[in-house]
Amino acid sequence: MNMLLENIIEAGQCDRIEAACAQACHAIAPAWPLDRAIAVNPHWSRIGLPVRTVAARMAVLAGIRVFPPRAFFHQALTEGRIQAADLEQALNTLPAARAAGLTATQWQQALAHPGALPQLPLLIDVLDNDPQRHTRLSWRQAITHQVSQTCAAYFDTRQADWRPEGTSDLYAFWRDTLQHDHGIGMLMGIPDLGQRLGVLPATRAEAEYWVLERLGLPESVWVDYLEAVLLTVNGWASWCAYLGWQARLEGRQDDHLRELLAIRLAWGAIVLDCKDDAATHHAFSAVQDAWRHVPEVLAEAEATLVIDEVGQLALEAAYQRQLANRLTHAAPQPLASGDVEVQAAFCIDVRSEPLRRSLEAVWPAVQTIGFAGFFGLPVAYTPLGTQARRPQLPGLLAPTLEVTDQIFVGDQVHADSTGKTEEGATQARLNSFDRARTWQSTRRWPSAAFSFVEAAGIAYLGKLGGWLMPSKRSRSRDDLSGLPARYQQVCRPAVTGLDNAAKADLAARVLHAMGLDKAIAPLVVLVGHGSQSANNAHAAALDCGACCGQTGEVNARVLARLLNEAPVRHLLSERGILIPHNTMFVAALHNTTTDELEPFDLDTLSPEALQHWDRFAASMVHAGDQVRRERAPKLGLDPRLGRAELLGQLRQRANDGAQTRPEWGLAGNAAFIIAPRARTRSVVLEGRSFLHDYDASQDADGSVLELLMTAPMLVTHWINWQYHASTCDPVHYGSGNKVLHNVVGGHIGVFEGNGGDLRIGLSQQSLHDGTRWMHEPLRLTVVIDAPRAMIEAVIQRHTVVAQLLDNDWLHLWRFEGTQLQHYAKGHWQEVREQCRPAD
Amino acid sequence: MNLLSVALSLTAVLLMLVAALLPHLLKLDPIRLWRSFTGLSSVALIASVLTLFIAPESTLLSPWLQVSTVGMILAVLVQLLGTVIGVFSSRYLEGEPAQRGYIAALGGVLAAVQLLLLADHWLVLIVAWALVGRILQGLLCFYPTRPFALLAAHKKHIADRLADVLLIAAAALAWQEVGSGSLSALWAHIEQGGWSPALHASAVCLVLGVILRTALLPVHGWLIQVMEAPTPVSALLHAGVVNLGGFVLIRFAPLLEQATIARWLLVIFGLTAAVLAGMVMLTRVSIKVRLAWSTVAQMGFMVLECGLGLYTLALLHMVGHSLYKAHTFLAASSVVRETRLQMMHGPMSPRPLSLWLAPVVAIPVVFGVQQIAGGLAWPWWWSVILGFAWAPLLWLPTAHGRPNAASGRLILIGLASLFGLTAAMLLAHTVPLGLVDAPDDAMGRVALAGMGLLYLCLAWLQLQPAALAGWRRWSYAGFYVDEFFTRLTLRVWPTIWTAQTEASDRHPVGAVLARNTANNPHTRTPNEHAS
Repeated sequence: MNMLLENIIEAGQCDRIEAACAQACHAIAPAWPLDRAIAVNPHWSRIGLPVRTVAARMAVLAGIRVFPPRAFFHQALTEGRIQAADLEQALNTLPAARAAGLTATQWQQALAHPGALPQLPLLIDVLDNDPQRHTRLSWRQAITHQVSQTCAAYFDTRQADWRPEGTSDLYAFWRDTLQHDHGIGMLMGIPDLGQRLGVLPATRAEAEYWVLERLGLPESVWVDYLEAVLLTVNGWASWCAYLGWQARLEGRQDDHLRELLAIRLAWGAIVLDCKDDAATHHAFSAVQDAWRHVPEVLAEAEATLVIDEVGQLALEAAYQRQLANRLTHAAPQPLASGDVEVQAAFCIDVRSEPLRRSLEAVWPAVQTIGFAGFFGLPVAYTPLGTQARRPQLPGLLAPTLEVTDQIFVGDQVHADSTGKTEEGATQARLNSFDRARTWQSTRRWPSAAFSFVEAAGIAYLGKLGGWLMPSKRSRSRDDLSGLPARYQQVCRPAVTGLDNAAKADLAARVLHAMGLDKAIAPLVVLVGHGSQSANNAHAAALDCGACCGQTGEVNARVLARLLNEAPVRHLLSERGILIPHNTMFVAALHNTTTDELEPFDLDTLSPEALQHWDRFAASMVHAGDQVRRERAPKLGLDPRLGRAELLGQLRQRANDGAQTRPEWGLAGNAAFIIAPRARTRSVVLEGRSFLHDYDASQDADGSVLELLMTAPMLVTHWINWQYHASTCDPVHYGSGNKVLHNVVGGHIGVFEGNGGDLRIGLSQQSLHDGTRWMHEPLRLTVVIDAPRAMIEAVIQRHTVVAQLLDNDWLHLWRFEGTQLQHYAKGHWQEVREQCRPAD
Repeated sequence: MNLLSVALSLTAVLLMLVAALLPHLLKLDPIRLWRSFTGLSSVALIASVLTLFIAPESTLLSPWLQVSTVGMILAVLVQLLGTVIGVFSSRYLEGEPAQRGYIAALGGVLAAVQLLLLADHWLVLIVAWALVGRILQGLLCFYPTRPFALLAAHKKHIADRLADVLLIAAAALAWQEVGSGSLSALWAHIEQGGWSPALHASAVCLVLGVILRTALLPVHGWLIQVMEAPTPVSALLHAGVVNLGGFVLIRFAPLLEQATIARWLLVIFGLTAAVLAGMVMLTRVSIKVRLAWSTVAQMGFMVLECGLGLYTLALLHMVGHSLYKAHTFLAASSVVRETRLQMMHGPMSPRPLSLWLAPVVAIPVVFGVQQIAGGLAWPWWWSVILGFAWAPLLWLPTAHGRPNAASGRLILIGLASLFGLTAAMLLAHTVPLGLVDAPDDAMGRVALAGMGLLYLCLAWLQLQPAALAGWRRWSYAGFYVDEFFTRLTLRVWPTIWTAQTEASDRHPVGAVLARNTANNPHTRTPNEHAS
């Protein structure tokens, strides 16, 4: 900041502006890149406020919808999905509805109104009032476009072959870009824009001070105004927040989001300078008038939104009524551990539930377990001979262990007899990459591409033909790319840099959390999951969220290998965890598109373990078939087809580059049950429920429960709210139409069409089948089988958990005997009474 | 000329006409419509292939239509693309409410293109080409509520109407001179030595019209911005529609042979587009926009080849580029997976020396391969251009602790690729396409200078990117060419950008943000929800 400014602004003012900007930036939740697309609650930083308050703020600040549109409730009512009892319950539950004396009839009448809420104007909106403005781009759009293109150029490291060099910070880069821009002024109808850039604040800090000083807004609304400004470029703001999030995990600080805010603020300064004094004056007073009444406008919006929140609750009550019925009417079915031949641990993902249910029905000798799909390994994985390191754990955490590939033949590492070594594999892979790179240069450089298509374009005839009839290939394993076939079989991921004691500690922790430290079957299958789709920019969003948008392959294989190591088992036995000598662990992958199981490293199993595996695999074939039949109608397939035919169709779908809906992912998710499997075995949960096994009797100190409520519960909440937000406001929190998607920076995100802001969230095709929504926007109902005191202890210790509950971001239930209780602001109420009001 | 070949050559046009009308005539659901489209298109494809082999050169309905080898090769190509794009769209657009109109427009565009490929009369040519653009508007505006889609469509509309005027002028001048609108008559007239300033003027108008239709700079904007329409529309446009200008130029080779001014125009516009758009392409940050700029550059190159009189190569380019670009566009979303794989490769910076040695080695290889095959197949300057073009195959990465053997292996791979590509080009060049090349040495030297300059830029870029920062900025901005065209378009068709601006007229303070309705399923009518 320069001296002049420092003189003008008193020191206290500086601090207050600084604090307001920091707070506004804090409100933006991160958005992960496409190759690590994990789900995030876009309101994550706002959970300190009640949902309805956030809904009011979002509407007033940026026209964003948090609750489903009223037409949605109307339809649910007409279709009978919301029944009178549900509505009654919602009206009784919501204090604001009770206070207002809202009746069912009034509520239904209110649905006829769209319930539109006022949105407060920003400086650029009130300035953009020229009668000629339809002959140019609207300023809001032009500015968003300019900021977005600048961000794309700045952050891109993968798409462009000719990138800006030696860039400074984002603000300086933008300032430099704009000063040399000869086009934007013309598009905005300000031909002499170039001459007006003298007013451009020199630094980020100056831009912030300049605007807040000049706008003359009351200090109490600064944060609101700044948040509204950021929300005009919410996509890039979320990207910057992601960079900040990563920096925090690594113990660094990242200022990109603040710079983005400053850029957007500085734009206000520029267009202001392009107007005459009268217009400027008018604009200031218009903005000031509008923003002076923020508290009143917000209060009014919040009052209007009571209708919407009642609808939200009624929708949830309808689902919860069924859920409670199913959970309380199912007789607990414990499993005699002596009968168990195979234990199979699946990810908590909602797509595991139908498969587990079918598998248990097909083969009673299998015990299935639900566990977070990264299997408790906080690892980052680097494929052999590359620098492509990537995290394989929930986005909330930073990796603490490293995994890379080893060439592992049979029993010993570096089996010299075969001559296969890591060094050999690395060189072979690098040579293959060299070849690929040479060949790619024919398309990368324009002059080469001209003549390349002339000479070799005809070869694309075959590729073009490939679009006509998709193949039935199995999932391609990109982590093995460039490795010769002879190495592919023996290249296996393993954790590095851990001695046996540390490995045993890790193994003991994981086994305890999985409930596997007591009774272990002869074969334990660790089933990760991954999706299979082609030509899909959002493929990672269908993979395992707990593995940071990757498949669970690496984690499952690493853990299986670790637990099969004799020294580790020896140390485990010293810690009191006895793994029978003949027990083996094996990793597999649940292909969620085709519901097939892909095993790994079977060649390292003992003959006895292989026999168990064969029986397990045979049951999985049947179970997979049942699940495919269950899923078929939603995918527009005929469930009565023969097994091979239905599987064939799903495999084709998985390889079909023209298919925008390879599978429905986690659409429909609505509940998370943390309980022993006995509570849910044979209960049909329709693939809508996350399942985590938990036995409170084995968790005396409550540490496992604490972990579950602060890690998996938050991950499921993020997933749940991503689906919720993308459904309720597809424009701001959905990535739009897949057929228009245009990938930015190779992996950063997508534009919908030419440009505009970066789009975050789920696409329209992930949620809507063209005629109806496949996801019902319900807040997650978490059901825990644990004593009241244990749960309350966790709530008390963790502010985040308390905020989620007290501010209505999720529902919490617990089992009391065979009954259910609902957590309501520190109290527990019987669920059955709630769900069945006197009718 | 028998009845069979007449019927065959008209089959594609008629079947596609049926495909275009079917959605309007029958109330079939989209699945059935797609099935019938695929059937019709496949039969049309077979008919085009048969025509190519049975009746490659014949007059159809004198003086209006004629079957030509070039036309039929492109007819097969376009029908193939149409079929693939149709099959792709049938799955890709599942659930889209406007599929019926899409199918009709796709059929219509293909019918019009097929008609254009048969044209032997100025009127047929002009009408068919105008129809292609007209019907295409329906596809460009598949989402009519997207303002940028409308903007792109309007831009194309302006370019098309200007092109119409120029083509009509070209037709009038030639017609006046020849006394007939028949193109065959025009060729005969020229062959008999009937050259005149009027034909000069006609050729100039023609090539300017082609430049407008082929989306060369400065009228390329609409092609870049049609990302506002579904991916397969882009594939169709980039692979099967913009390159029609190349077909027209090849057809008009007899006229262009003596029209020096017109050919110079082609060389200058083509070379400029190839070099500038090629540089812009390198700066693009989103995949589809990169592909679009690549098309502009490729079209520039094709037009350049036509101007140089290298018609055989131009035709090979049209075919190769179409297949390549259609596939690449349809696969645009695979870029995320490609990027993941690229990340495993790690960064690559070429050794400075290899940048300078690469063309020195590559150029003799291109000559050598031709010598082995029995003599030069194209002018010497073209071989040099090819050497520059494929020199990047011989760029060697700086060694990151890699053994020397790796470099040796890379050189071998590069040389083998170079050899293979040149051989493939030679082989393709020997296919009898019924074209007579008319290379011009002076123009060839200019083209060589331009492509040499492009290589220099690329090499410099590898060495000292910072030195080119200013040039990058201009490239990133697309040289600000399109901005003028955008404003012009907006003056003609003022666009209501969002409903928001309307609302703010009434409520200057509490403006209600009306949502962008284009892609928000919430805002669909209740009927659509219920169906």
